[in-house]
Amino acid sequence: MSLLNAALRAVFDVALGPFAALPPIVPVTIVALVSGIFALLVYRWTSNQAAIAAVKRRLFGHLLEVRLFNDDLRAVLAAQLRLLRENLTYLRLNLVPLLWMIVPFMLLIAQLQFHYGYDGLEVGERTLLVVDLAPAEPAAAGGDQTAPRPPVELEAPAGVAAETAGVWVPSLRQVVWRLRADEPGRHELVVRVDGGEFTKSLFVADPEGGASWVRRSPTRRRAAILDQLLYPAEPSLPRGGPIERIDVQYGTAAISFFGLFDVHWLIAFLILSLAFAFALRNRFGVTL
Amino acid sequence: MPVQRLVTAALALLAALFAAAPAAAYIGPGAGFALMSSFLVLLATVALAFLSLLAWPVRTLWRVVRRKKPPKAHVKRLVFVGLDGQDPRLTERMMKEGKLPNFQRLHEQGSYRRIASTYPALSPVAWSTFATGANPGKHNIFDFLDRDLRSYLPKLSSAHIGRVERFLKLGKWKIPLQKPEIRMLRRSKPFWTVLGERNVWSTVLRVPITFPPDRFYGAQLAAMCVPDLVGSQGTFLLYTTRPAADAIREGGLRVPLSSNGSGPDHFDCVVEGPENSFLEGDPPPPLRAPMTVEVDRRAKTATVSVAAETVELQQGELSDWVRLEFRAAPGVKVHGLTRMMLTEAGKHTSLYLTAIHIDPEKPAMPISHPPYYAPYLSKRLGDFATLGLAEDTTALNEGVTDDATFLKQSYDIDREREEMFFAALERLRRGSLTCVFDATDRIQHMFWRYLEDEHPAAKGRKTGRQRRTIEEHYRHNDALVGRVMEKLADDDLLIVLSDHGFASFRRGVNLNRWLLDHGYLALREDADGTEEWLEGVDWTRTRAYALGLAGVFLNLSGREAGGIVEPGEEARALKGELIAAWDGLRDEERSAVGINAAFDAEDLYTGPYRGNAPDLIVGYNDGYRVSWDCAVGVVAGPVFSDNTKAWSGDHCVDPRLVPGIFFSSRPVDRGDDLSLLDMAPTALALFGIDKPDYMEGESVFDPAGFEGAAA
Repeated sequence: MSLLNAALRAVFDVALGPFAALPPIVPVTIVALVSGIFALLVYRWTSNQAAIAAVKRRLFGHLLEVRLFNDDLRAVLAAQLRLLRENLTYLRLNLVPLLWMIVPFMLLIAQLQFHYGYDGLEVGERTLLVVDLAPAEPAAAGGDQTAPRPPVELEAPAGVAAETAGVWVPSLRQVVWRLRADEPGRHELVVRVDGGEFTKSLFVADPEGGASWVRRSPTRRRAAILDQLLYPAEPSLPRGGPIERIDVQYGTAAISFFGLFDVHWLIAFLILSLAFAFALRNRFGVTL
Repeated sequence: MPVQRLVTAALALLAALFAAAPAAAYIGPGAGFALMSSFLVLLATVALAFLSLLAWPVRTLWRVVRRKKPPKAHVKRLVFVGLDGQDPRLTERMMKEGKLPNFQRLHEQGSYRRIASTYPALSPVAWSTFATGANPGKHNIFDFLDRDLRSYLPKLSSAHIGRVERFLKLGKWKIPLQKPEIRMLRRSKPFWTVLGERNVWSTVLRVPITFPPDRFYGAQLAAMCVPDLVGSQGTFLLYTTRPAADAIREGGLRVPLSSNGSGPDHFDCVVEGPENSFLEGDPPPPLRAPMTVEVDRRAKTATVSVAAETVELQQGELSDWVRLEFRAAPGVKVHGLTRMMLTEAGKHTSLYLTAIHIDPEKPAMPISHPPYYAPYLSKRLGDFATLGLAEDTTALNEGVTDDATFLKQSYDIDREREEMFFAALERLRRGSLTCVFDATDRIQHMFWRYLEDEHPAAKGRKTGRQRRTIEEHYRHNDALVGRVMEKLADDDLLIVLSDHGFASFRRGVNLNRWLLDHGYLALREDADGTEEWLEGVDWTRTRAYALGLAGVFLNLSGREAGGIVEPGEEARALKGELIAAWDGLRDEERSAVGINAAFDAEDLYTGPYRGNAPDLIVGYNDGYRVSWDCAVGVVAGPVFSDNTKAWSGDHCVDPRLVPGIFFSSRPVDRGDDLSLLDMAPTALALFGIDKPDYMEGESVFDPAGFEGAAA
């Protein structure tokens, strides 16, 4: 999984790099187009097209039946029950292509989320760095409230200032620092625990613009499968190590939808990929 | 409780959908399609249910205000099953032999009678009388064809299809600014319209002469005279590499197939559709759909690609319906359906396509009422034949297809009809349902020759298995009647009837030749009589001519453009001469009577449209009919000739020889004098409605005998 994530990070960094200085709706549109076509192909190959066409015909038939017998309440209600039944059949028929698409689209969306889902810090902006430590050994733990502060240190790079010493929250086994972003760019924070060094990236946006839509990671986690799948923006923390996760708080980004309104990139991607797929379905000979 | 399980599952699904965060629920366009479409349908369903509940009292009130009060009905559901052409003699014989148990049961439970047909005994005339309760002088349908009084050329008797006259020109395109006028020529209200005016619903499936469809309180699928997509009454296509030795004379087009240098087994060709009215031209160029045919001669198969469809064909097997799509202009498509068969894949390749039917899912013409009824049926039950005369009798006549293919086609269409019928019956809670099944008529037309050893069309043919075809079809009808009876309740009433019986067609009679021989018709000096549609006739010296299947017209001054017979005394005298001459007209070659009698239309018809009728209706004897040549206006050839075509049985004879059948699930309260005229008044009486003045028949049931069945 780590290898796959590393490869995907490299691929997406390279593929989306040229668009980093452009409004994010441009790469989102292009990815939505490619995704729509990919989805159509998967849909065509994995779904029962004949059955989907048949159930859609029946669905529309029952809709017309409601109109045709609109004077007959019993017939109308019966037609609606049939509509519900056909609708469930339609959903069932969509499950197969859906299962085929889950993994590739989760990988894709996870990658895109870290490019377009978060705002970078601005120069002068403050944020919290939170380090979650692994649970202590039972023998060492004298109760959460009295647990001694572990020896955790932060080394902030040039361009990032730690405004506070690490605050120990024993009940959560967290150490928290307040950081201030002083210079734009991608910075590497170093956390030292038990002689080990763990890094965490921090992205500060360039006030002059420039290549601001690049990968940023709000969290780095241990190597659990689901976490690796959902948070692939940085290599996982070692399993069995002293740290469970390191978080940096970024704001949620909204992108401009062709100047019409601001929206989360995922919504824009949803609308565009669906629109492309619907527009191209006949060309690809797919019944949706 | 499957409904409970269904509702529970639906609610669980809804809950899951609403509980999921948008981002978590969305895992790609595929899921998006499923969720969005399903959610939209669910939303539409719920909205429709709500609106239906809300609107129902308003609609009910509106119906009560707009239409007259619903009458006190004597039945809950009235079901007419029309078996076009089922013959009483065959039916009675088979019932006697115990081969039609359901007909027998219906007879014992209710009644059986022979029922008088119309003059002439032709389906368009007879079913129009069935529907309106009026004679042809009141409903204006006298034959399949009428003639143009200016040109003497034939035209469809039942519908007028006009052209679009107003366009907006945009470069090479011309955008129609109006719809073409499509007008029904049948007059008088059918009984379903009268029922609808009193709030009684009717479903009318494939009753002849319903194109364009009637507008009434109910649903209707049009039938006989619905054209194919190119506007004809059915033009099949034969793509073939064979040299055009014999032109197809009747109802078909031969299209040369050539390999165009891309290998001997690969053919590129086109299917031509209707004229593209978006383009200039007189006539405008046809719409074209490219088609490729890839033949495997060893396996006797072909792969045909047309529009978005690819079909695998095995030689001799008829395909399912194939969708055709013609692009008329950007964003404008015309849709059709056809069935294909690879008829040979040896030294030569031949591919048969049925006439291109109007696609019921996206009809290019009005073929149903309401307009979405045909799409509704198509979506619920699948594709189906829409052409008026859907069974391809002409391809069999021309030897392009064979008996087995024709039978398959006929039974497939019958099955489509049966599905529609039972779907409609299931939905009908109160009102009338009328459905006409055509296969009986078509099969008897094409297989009658096997019933007679000496039939000219059967000579040299093996007749063993085919001899049973008609009997097997009657048994098929019997099974249908049994299934219908099972679906009916005590307060429903079933009537099974045919519009006419059947007779043999061994010899053709060319009345135009007779008229020529006897000085009533003359040819121009440059004509030899082989010209079709009477084009060689010298109208300045012609007093009478035959056109259509049963009619003879006088060339009447003031009516026909070149009329020379004065109305009144001269016309009466001329009719008298012809009636006398044809009374018992003998076929000396066969020592038999060819024509029983000719009937004066003035004696047969009453009503405002009597003037549109042929002046004489010819009553051929059993075994005789108008000849194929005479039917297409050819004068040359003998008066009497053998009929060697597969179309070997007919009903266009003296109507007294071909009554229809009438069965009902309740005993009739009449003697043996039943007529098709009685059916519309019967339908109205069963729903407690007095018949309008123009209806001539009488109810065959006494409503007093019904005990408040369906109040």
